[in-house]
Order: sequence, then C-alpha cells, then structure tokens
Amino acid sequence: MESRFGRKPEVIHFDVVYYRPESVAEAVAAFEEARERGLDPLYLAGGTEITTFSRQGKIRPGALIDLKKIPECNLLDTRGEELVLGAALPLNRVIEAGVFPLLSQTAACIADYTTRNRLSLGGNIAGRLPYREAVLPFLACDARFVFAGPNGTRTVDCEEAFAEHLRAQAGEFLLQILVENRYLTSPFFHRRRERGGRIDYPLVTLVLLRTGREIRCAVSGLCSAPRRIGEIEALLSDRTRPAGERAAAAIDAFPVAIRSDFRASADYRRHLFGLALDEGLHALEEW
Amino acid sequence: MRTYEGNVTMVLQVNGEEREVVVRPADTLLRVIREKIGLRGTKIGCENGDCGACTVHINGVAAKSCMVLAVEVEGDEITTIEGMTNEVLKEAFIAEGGFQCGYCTSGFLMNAAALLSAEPKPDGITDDELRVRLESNLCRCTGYEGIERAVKRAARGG
Repeated sequence: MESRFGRKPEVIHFDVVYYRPESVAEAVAAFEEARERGLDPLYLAGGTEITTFSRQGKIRPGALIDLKKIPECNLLDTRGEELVLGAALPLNRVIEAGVFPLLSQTAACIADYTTRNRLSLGGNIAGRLPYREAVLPFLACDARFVFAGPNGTRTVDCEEAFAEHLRAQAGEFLLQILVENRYLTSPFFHRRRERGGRIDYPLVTLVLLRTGREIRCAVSGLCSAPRRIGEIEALLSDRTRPAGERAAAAIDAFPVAIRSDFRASADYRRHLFGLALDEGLHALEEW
Repeated sequence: MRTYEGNVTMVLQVNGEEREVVVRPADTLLRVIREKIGLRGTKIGCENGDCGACTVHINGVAAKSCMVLAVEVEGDEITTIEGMTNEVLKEAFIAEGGFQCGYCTSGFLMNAAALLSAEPKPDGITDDELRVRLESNLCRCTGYEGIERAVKRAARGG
C-alpha cells in the first residue's frame, strides 16, 4: 500500500535483524555473527537516534544489537572511589538519581522529557549529531570509559576515548563510564544557549568545573564536535586577574575554529561563549 | 539471546491484554499499535520524536512510540490512550478547554497521566515541573494554556 506521499506505511523501509543479548559476551558474539553475514551491525540502547535516522534514510544498519537487557549496561552505583554509570541508562534515570549534579544539569537540557525516558547516556555520546552534550561533564572531570568488545574490556581515559567522536574499536561498545567521587561535588557552572527556545540544539553549551585551583572547560555547539578546551584552562584558572579579563583572554586564545551555520554565525557564537564564560567565572568565584 | 529476523510473531502486552502480532524488527511501536493492533488513538505526527502525538506508556513511563521498535518492548507493559484510566484528567481537559482539533490530545493525556501517576501531587504541580513535562508535546491550536490548566486541575484532584 502506498500513502499519499508515495511511500510504504512502514516507516523504516529496510529490514534489520534484531538481537537482544543478556550478557556482554552474547552482545559481542551477536555483533561478530552479524558482521560475518555482512549486515553492518549497530549497537542500540535507547534507540531514539537510530530509529529516526533509519526512517530518514541517514543510516541503514542491517542488524541491531540491543544492549538494554545487559545488567552491566544499567548499573548506577558507587564502587570504591568511583561512580559507575552504565551506558544504557536512560538520561532521566541519571538526572533523577542526582548523584552527579553537573551531569544532571547538562543532561536535562538534551532533547525533551519524554525522549529522555528512552535516550541513553551512551547513545547520546556515541551518536551522530554534532552536539552530544552528555559527554561534557565527563571530559571536564577526566572520567574513564569502559569499552567491551571481542578482546574483553578495556578502560580508557575520556580524552582518548572521545576525540571528536567516540573512539570504539571494531566490534566494541561503550559499557560504562567511571567518575571519581571527588568530582561529583566539585563546583561547576553550566550554561546553554539556543536559537529558538529550550527544545533546540545548542548554539553554545559551556561547562566549567573547578577542582582545587584549576578551572576546566568543555563546550558543545561552538565547534564541530564537543571537546574540552584545555588550551585556555590556564588562562581561566589565573586568579591573579579579574574574571572578565580572564574570559576576554580565553576568547582571544580560543584554539579551534568556531562553527558558523544557518543557526548562528561564528561571531554570534563567540559572543555567546564570551558572555557565558564571564558569567561562569564570576559564579565560580562566589561558589 | 533472542534474535528476530524477517516477519516474526510475537506477543505484546497492550492495555492489560496479550496481543499476538506479526512484525518486522524494523517496525516502530507506533505503526504496530495502529496498523497491526488497530488502536488508532495513538496518533502519527512527525514520526521524528518531536511532536509527542504518539506518546504511550512503557511500564508506566511516557515514551514516544515512533522512536521505539516494537521488538524492543516485548515483555513490557504498553498502555495506549485506549487503556488510560485517569478519568479525572480527561474531565479536566474538557472542563478547561484543553483541546481544539484534538489531534495532539491523546499524546498530551498520556504524558500528563504519567506525570500524575508517578507520585501524588497533593499540593498541585509547579509551573516549572509542568513546563518541563509538557515541552515534550506540540499543539498547534490551543496555545497550551488550557492544557496547562487542565493538568493542574487534575493534579489537585479535579
């Protein structure tokens, strides 16, 4: 049957093979089996982006491996000196747990409430959209990412695991994220600026985290991908200078090309970033 | 490990009943609810996760059924607008003029019902809480004020 728009009623026009593993080993085996069959498999957790991108024809996976039933992917617990966050946790579970306030505040700005009931932490970070704001707190606090794959698990520093995009090796998926407890209560600042209302992609999202005398900075929307801006952190942390002066110096020294697109020019984004930096540095002074 | 390929027969729990359906793994829950089970109260809108017209409950949690594959929710409890039993909320939408054309209404009702059932709201609901929740749904008729009044009224008990 054709609709009046000329397309079949099934919104995703191609077939997929769906696997629902209940352990890490089963997930890895499913990926390998699908790959050997030439199915171009993808791991799935919340599935919000995979479903919509498949409908739009932007991606065409031949197999989906659903990670939601794997217990390790749903862990939200403190183990020793670290918080362990399973990558398949829906964002709202992480937000409402409230154990990492910077993450809660950052994730609460992603998509809308109902979508966040499904959208997963790992799915946002591994996604194809250029914003992926959930990674910002992890970049700022030197989190570690645990990948699972054919060679077992490996734990990688966040900056290595996420450089422009998630650096999973062939057949690997993001299993967990580890955050040292000492960062969970560090002073922070989060500011998000959009063009057309809160439910929109960010023009700029700024995260500042103060640890001891050091101020760390991570951004989304400003550049081609979310990233930590370590190059300006010494300027931001130089408390011999007033906050406004530090913000201005950091903007002058900003080391990456600022994004310019139909949403906003680079100049406007730079302006918003400057305002947020100035506000954030003052806020951290008063924390 | 479950594996589904081609046309598969599976059982979905919908509104308290077991419904046997034949689906492709790529079928969204929205399309299966409407076209395989025949419950048309769940509306097709953007099919992009933006409008919320397709909102259902999965284990009591509001979700946009256009962004969920039917195979993902095998074993979960699905509630559609046909199975939503919060009569106080429905009456409040009528009393407060919470709809005009009505196309988005089932999505708003399902979203609001999840909010109201999650925890008692003896002191009503705050504007901020309501704003965050209702941002998930779009209406192009009412301007939202009637919807907000309706949800607040229902939160107070009608």
